[in-house]
Amino acid sequence: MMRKILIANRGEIARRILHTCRERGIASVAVHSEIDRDAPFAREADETVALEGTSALETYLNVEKIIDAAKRTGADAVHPGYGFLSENAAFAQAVQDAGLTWIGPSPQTILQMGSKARARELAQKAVVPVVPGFHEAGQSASQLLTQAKQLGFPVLIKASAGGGGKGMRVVETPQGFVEALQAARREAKGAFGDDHLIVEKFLENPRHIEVQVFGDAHGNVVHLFERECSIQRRHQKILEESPSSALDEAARQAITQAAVKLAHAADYQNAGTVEFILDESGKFYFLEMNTRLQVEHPVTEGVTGLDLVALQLRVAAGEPLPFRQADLTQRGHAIEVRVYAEDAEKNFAPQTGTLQVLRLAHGPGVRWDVGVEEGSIVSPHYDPLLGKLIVYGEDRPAAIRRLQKILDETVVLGVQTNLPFLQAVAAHPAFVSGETTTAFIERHLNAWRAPAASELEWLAMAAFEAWGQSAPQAAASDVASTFDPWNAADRWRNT
Amino acid sequence: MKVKLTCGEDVRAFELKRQGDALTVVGEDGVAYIVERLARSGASLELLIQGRRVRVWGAQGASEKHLWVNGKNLRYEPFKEGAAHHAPDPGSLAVSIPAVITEVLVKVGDRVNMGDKLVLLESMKMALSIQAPYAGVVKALYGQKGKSVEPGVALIEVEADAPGTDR
Repeated sequence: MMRKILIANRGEIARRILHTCRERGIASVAVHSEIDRDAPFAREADETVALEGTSALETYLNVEKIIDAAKRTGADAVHPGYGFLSENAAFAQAVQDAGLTWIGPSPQTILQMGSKARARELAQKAVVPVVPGFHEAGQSASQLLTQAKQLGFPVLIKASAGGGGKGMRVVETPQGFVEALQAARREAKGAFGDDHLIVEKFLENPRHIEVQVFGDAHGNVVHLFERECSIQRRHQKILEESPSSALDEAARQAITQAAVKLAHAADYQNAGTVEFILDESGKFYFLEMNTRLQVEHPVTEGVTGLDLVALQLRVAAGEPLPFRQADLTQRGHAIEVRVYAEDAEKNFAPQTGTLQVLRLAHGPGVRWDVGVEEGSIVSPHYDPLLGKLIVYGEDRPAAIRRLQKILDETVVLGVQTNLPFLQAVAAHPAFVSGETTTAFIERHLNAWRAPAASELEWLAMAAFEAWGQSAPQAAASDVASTFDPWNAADRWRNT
Repeated sequence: MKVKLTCGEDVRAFELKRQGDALTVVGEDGVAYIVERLARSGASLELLIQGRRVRVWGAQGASEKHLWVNGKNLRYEPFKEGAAHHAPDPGSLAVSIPAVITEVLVKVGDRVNMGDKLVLLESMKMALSIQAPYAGVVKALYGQKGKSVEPGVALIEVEADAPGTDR
């Protein structure tokens, strides 16, 4: 087992990882940017290395500086967390080349799964269903139309080299197909210099369901059941839960087995997530594989009782998985919501400033993974994720009631967060009844506005005007909307 | 004391009379309510309103106030007649202390990235800067080099890019 782990990340996930290190008696090294010097994760680590600069490129994305920090502190392993360098094969390779243990899948696996085309090929080889579709490969428009009809409308036309929705079109009927094809080709050429197109069956109102898998160096692969992450906004997950309300036992068996097959085919080691979409008829299709610990891993920890980071360390140290598939059970129901510093009423614009009040509600079955504390400054330099609330209950209704209660009791003020929006999601009848698809937000909470104030709330405002004004926090210097120049990157000039 | 407040789409005016821990709130319709203060510590108030115990947490930005009232989050601000200042709206940036502009680094129409420095200022021998809290386009500038600025008054407005990029 490793003795000292460098955590190449920040915020809530760095803190999460170092908690497991401490529990296991493993020393931790945090690297931090200048602005994160006083952040909880930096203060709580056993050792810290300051990385010069503030931008992500200068710090958490800087391979050279991080490897150097690992060497200087005598760390023998690196945990990348999620985001930043976690799915960067070159970084994984650099860690291994430096003689350190990489806590994650091999650089080859990261590379393979990083390519959507290669991952899709691998899935097809492993007989895991992929979204039905075809590559246009020099076919005439009429040939393509015939194929599209076989696929069944609506279809999705997208650029082979694509991303970001460019060159992407949903075609509802055969009549509009040829015209859309030509337009997509022009757009793809302009955006990517490559006009090759893929035509896929367009799945309406799908659910996003993913399976947590784990592999070790001894050829064992298990799944840790599914998570449903359908409630998203522009591909940004907002709420995740396990089990999924859309799967019965047979469907669960099928989708988890498909994930295990794929992981076996990839000779997968360490933690990974196989993402699927599930259509209205209950068919599922492979989407992609994430070769890292996920943001939403605590949901799986909730229903399995396992510590996924501890498992990652064991597997990375070459130990076999300490259980077999048959030993694992999915018990109760867990839900996670992501708390972001963003204004849901202003198109979810990221917010910055000082967290003047931070009171996280607690109780049985409640877990908070947060990277901030009262007084923390939310800077514009990184992701606006403040942390995650995870609730656990004996079943889905119990977990939802707990989620609603804890969201109501939690107070975060000074920087606008999405907590009011999360309250609206958690209370929505469609969510409560399990009607969760990736169109949930668009369909039910589009252009959401906070409910109008009640009489009692107006009186509370009046009382705050009368009595709240001279409170020390209330007088704290903060800036219009959100920015605090006292805490800007500039230092004292005359010291 | 008279207050006029804006919360969401609604505007209400009140007359407040404070006597120790009792507050009389008279609305525009002339109806008076008694709000009793039970406790107060730091940023929180505990009130008794029409027999109900109400817990309030508050934080104050330069213009908007953020309240949590028995589980509900509210934002409100003093009503502004004809906006004598450029009211800091969500896209606008200001300083929290009086300062002097030493340099304006952008002009209207410029594209800025998150974290870009937009305006440099000086206050009490200290260099300050206003940075873009998100990527977008500079929509308005309300100051130039050498100008003194008051806290909470908007100096610059940045319109955020449409979301859609993965975070």
